[in-house]
Amino acid sequence: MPDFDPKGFKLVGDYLSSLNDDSGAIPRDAINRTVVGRYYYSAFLQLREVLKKGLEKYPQSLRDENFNDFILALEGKNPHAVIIAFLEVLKEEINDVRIRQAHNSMVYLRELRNAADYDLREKPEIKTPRGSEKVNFSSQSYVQKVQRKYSFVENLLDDDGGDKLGDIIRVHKNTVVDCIKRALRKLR
Amino acid sequence: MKESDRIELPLPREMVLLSGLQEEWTGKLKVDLESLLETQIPHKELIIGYLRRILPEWLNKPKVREIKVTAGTPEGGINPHVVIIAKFRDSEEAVDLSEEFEYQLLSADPKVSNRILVYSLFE
Repeated sequence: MPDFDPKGFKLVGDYLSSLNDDSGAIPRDAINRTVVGRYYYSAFLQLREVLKKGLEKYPQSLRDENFNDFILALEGKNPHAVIIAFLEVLKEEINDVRIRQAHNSMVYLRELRNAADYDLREKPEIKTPRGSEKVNFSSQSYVQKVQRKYSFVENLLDDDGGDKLGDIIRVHKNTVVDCIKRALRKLR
Repeated sequence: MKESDRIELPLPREMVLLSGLQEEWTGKLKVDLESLLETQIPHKELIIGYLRRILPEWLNKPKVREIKVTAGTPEGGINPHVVIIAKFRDSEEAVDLSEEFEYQLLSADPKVSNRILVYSLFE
């Protein structure tokens, strides 16, 4: 049986968000909270796979202790923070608006996903660096926004021009190894 | 150190100007001067100057309810950023408008855009 493709989670999100069920049998905010989580996990898991597969091909000469710790961290207790930290460092090294958009998208999606799954108040709150802000998952605007944020990650993963994250990892090996070191140093 | 012993340093120029913009747009623009002052961010004056130049156009839009400017490191993040929290009136165009705003913030000079994070909200 082939491995599971995390794009499947995005397709579930697409399906749920297209439902026009006005019967109230399934509350709209329950659908939208689920959609948020499916798009986030699809983006997160695809990013992790591209990183893991790209880094697998690195020569032994570049695989120091930090490198190996990073590979372990991608499967460890908090791979979400590891991925976001890597994008945060990478955007400062490679001048590409798509990396900035993907980083901002992952920070935003992660906060929305946490609120969608854990905060049961009618108006859940997302954490921001200096506090929190209320969101309303009954609003379709949040579904549309999450779809846009997902598309920025997808754009970095599947760029038709061939200049995608996998290529960046393959071509800029020394920069990527330096980013790994810096991301890990801050996370430890 | 006693409160009376504290030396009041003059606010950096761009911070003064952003603060002036806040007075002009009371209730719609909220600037957390304290966090902006105490958070060390590379090219902070450049970032604040950029915001001061682009924000009036956005504050003028009726569909923009509120823009907050603050600073800090997001949960799980590693570097402090200037953080923009933009609240839009929930409508069919709100998401497109928020994307336009975010693109303007994230596609500027990398010294500016690399240290900006935007959270768009709809209400």
